[in-house]
Amino acid sequence: MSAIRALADQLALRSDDDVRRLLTVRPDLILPPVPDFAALAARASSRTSLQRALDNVPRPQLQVLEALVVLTEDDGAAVPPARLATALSQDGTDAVESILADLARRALVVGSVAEGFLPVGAMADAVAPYPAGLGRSFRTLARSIPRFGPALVRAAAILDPDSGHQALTSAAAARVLEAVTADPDAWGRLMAGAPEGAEALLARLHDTPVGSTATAGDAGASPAVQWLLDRCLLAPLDALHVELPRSVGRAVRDHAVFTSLDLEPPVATGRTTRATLRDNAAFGAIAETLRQTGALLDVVAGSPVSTLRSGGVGVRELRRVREAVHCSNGEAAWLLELAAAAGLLILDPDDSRWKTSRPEAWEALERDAQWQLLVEGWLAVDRAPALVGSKLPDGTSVNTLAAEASRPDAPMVRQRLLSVALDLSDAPGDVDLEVGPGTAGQVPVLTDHAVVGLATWHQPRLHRRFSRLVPGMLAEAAALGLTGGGALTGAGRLVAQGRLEDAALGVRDALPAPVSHVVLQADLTAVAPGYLQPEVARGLLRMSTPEGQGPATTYRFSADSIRTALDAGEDAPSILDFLRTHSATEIPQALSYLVEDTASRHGGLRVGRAGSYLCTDDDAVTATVLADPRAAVLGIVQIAPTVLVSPASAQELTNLLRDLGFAPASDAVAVAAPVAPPGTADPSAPGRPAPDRLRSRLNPWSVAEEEITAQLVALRTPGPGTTDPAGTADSETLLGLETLRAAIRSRSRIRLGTADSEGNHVCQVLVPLSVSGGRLRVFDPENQVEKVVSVHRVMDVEILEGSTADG
Amino acid sequence: MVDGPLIVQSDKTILLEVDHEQATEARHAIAAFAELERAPEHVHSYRLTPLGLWNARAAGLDAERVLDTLLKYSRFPVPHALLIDIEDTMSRYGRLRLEKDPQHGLVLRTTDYPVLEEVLHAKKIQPLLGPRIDGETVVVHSSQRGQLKQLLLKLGWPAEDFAGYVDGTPHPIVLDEDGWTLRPYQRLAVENFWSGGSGVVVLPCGAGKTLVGAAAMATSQTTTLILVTNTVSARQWKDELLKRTSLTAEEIGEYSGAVKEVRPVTIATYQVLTTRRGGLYPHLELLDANDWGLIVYDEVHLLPAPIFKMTADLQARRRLGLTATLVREDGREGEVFSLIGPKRYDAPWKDIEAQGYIAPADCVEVRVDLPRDERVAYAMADDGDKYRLCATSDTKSDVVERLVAVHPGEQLLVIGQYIDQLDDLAARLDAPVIKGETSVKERQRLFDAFRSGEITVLVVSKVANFSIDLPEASVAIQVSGSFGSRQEEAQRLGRLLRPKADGRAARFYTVVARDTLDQDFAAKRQRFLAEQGYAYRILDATAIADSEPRD
Repeated sequence: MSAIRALADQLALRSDDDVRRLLTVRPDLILPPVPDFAALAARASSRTSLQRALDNVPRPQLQVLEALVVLTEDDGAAVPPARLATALSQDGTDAVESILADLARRALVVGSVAEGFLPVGAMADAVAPYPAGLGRSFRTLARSIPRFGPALVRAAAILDPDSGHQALTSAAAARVLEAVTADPDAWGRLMAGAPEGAEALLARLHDTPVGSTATAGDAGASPAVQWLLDRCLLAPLDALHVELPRSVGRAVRDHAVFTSLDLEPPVATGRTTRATLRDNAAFGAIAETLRQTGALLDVVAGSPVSTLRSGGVGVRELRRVREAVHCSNGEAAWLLELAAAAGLLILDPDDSRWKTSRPEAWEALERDAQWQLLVEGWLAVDRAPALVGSKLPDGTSVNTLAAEASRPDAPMVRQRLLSVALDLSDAPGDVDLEVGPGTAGQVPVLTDHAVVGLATWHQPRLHRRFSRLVPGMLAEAAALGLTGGGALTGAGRLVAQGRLEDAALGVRDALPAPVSHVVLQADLTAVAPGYLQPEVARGLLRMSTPEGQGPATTYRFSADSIRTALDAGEDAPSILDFLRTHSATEIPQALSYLVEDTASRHGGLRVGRAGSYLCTDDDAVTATVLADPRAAVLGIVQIAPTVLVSPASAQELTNLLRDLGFAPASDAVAVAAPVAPPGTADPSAPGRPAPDRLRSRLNPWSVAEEEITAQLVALRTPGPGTTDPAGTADSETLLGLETLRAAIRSRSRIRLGTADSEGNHVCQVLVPLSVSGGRLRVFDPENQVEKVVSVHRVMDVEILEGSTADG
Repeated sequence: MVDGPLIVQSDKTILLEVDHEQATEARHAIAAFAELERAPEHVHSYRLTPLGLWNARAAGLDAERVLDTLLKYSRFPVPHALLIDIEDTMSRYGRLRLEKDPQHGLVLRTTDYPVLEEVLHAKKIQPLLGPRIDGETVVVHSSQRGQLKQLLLKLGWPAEDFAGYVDGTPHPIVLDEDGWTLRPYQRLAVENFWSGGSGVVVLPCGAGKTLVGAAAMATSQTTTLILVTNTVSARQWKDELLKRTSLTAEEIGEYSGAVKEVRPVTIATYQVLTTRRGGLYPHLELLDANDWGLIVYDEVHLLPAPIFKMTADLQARRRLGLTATLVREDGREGEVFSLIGPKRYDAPWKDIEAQGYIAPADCVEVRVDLPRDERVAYAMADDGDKYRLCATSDTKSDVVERLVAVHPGEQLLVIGQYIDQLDDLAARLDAPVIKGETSVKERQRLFDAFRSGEITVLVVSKVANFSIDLPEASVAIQVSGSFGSRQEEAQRLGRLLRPKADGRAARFYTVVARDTLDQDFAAKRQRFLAEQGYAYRILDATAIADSEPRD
């Protein structure tokens, strides 16, 4: 019975709860829904689904699975747990059996303790080219490296002087070599005669099968390398690289597949920090991030951030932001990314500039709500801001908000980071929280190394992603106060548990209440002792210049700043009123003098905009013009006893005057054409991410509980004409592929029915070589050529029994 | 950390809310490692600098204590990056040590081999060092001790100096506390200085810096060299020492342009030391003429550049710097600190005023409207002449006359920059004038007459900016100054701050022409005064009569 059929049968026998659990961990199996268990099994066996499932398998499970793949590769027979335990250097079978049970629940293996286990479907393709970090077998190597076959024959004669001479084909020679390497005694005798350095060379290939001989010696192979190559204990890939054949690799690992099974997750290292320091750092970071975000939004509201043609924000714009917010380049990039992630900045598609979306809404939010908005945005964004500034292969670096920093898996990595941080913070490890007064309040520090290590244990296949993204994300978490001084904070813990609202409540309690008053001083400054209410801050900004970076801001008054306020329509009483209302102290005489003195002399020179003017010394003319109803239409106003102005053009004004019976002369003063007022259009856009956005971004393959239930019902109701569990088209293809794979493994001839370009059925006897990417590579023994056939053209496959194609 | 008096900013400043109940406690705690930058009436601001942190280390304070202090008194979370920065900076101190080796003399030793390597590879430092003894030790030419310390400071690896001081020739000096006692802050300043070895004491004008010097001499009990700004000041030092200590006239020598005496206590002027003849400093040997146990630098903010270099060679002797305002318009405060020593004592002026040791002062800026013709002349003048034009306006002279009339019978100084203007004012007010060309003898006579009350109004140029003790002067009118010099402003105000017999407040007028450079410069100077805690009022010239008379 084929593995898919066996899986389909097993799945059908499972309880509803078991199926439900399976679909929860592998939701892609029913997206889109499947008609029956055979289709479910077929999809579960497909390579893409298996790869997705493998990404979520922890290290011990993956080790067992890889060992299983290695052990079944040669003969295809089911592997009993005892043999697997030996291959994993385990004394008992308990651990292996429980892991196998888990893998079976995930539909990654089929079988039972009594009959042994087999990996499902295309598992060998899905795991990796080098399962368990072992190289290819002698026979595979002989097929893919031209001169390795003859070398094998020679090596067999060297290694086994008694019977090795009888091995004339590479297949037979391979069997001899496998026998020697698999036998501990023979291997021991062999290595005893090895030249110096051979063992060390092999040990270097312990974890990865491919290595370079360039570092092993000078030009030309060293004696040790030559000795190994002569005996085919290394396969030469090219002039510099060698591969350790699978059975040699196992011999190096004491004839096991893995020398140990990593059942226990790696525990945290012992570095700790004080809880007070952690909270200080975290709340300081939150206040700073919120303050800088506010400053950033002010900058962008004043002048949007333009993007480069190649995408992203260029260094000049970044410098502008950096100087306005008073931070480093890296921080400016992070703030832009964060604000965009939270939906506070949006890209205007018309002019490719980042603009603020509803800055007043941000300002109206309480600070804990602002923080929550930022954290939500950060959790959900499918970008890795920390990659900004890193080098691209072409030597340029990644720009802020450019497409290169987008990482669809970023939300998933963040979630894993938080859950790992939670585990590491709770792990007792070396840290005893209760010992002595000196260590009281100590909390473990999350190092990059520890977080990546534990995350990799949980999802070993994502190791590269973790090591690339996690350090930057930890820094981002610190900026958001999820960690402080390297340790997970209370807020971080709640966020990791998905309780964002509770976390925001904690932050609300910890952030000091906004102050509504400032302290006015005789050196013409106002000091806000803390976070100032936005409307007071805005009022002060109108009449003074802010100074200083930190929780408190100093506002400095000067004649210029007061003049700005006067220009904006304030007057001395209103400025002083505002100051009196919001000052905790008396207004110093010097300050009130400054305000009054500046105001009293304000407006000595005035500037305005007009389309045309009318100058006359004759009061009668002025009165006549102003009295005419059309004057109101033209918007004529008197700005001085002898001057009238109008927004209308000089021509219109002249016409009006002529109608009134005057004869105006046209002034020849050159006046530049008025500039059109800048556009004030502000496209509004969503500020908050939709509630569903986070879930869908975390895992595009997630399904809701109801969908699973609906699917279960569909599976349990046998549809019309589906008595044969493998009778549908979807599973048929898969069954065909499975037959092909079996034929490839056993090097059997097949009768392959395909459709030609006209749709006619063509039947040929061929030897399949490999199948991948929807293409089947075959050898045509009749014409002695290799061909490639598209899998979708394959109509039927039949193995011609007992016809091994070797030879 | 819920409601402390401090706000620690991420730009490395610390704000201190003065009215907070823990303010005094917090100020004493942070004064050890942060520099007081501004002290206006409600919120003082301090700055964290590497120098300040290293001085704190030198005084035995470790990073842990600094962090604890900040966390304890801070109202808001302290920026984490700042904490880490403080720890890093402080850990750089003391990796290099200057020591006396019984065999090799002065050596530079390290506990951290790479640091020594880095230092040895610095181009400027190489010539100051002798042969290398072993991996961690290198010989230092003893004459280069000061320069080496200064360069190491610039490199960011300050050396801890264990080489100590020479004792100097012992000479008995005792304070003669008859009818007066050392004030508590003076005592504290001397104690801080002595325990620190060398350093600068910052006290406001009129707070008795001379006495701090005398007390330091009494503690040292050795021969002493006192460096002062000018001859008048040298005579005042001498009088004060004779009055306050057991020293006799025979023990005190004056070394100036006129007299060249070297005695156990010698008072020399900066000018004579820096006189150059044929590329040499002929009077430099004074520094080696005696085995001085203590060198006092008066008005250390005025230290001329050549003295810096000479001081670098004097690192083995105890050095005391005295000043009212350690701001230098040339920004060389850092050099003062590294050569003479760190600030050992500093107190906000207002604090000492509150204790009654200096007179309270009322600063008033009088704004004068220039008449139309003067405004036009000003608007059309070259940039180089503008300040002179607006500062010496005739209108100002009228205002000065009216101000003098408002304060009949009070001891009054009129201070200005331009001699013509001063002569004109002297003629109008019928008062004597002291300027650069006035002889020392004549100056002494006029000052004595002013002190005794014979003369009530004195017109002085900038020669009277420093070190002139005029206890009863209670009103000063400043008509023009050297552009925006903050230090000059402080010194001029300082002339008024000696406590008055009747406890009156001093009054400091600055007459300023509206809408001109004069006003801009005045704003700069006043900002400085306000930052020292002196609130000032602004008055229109037309309103002078309303504001007076005083109660």
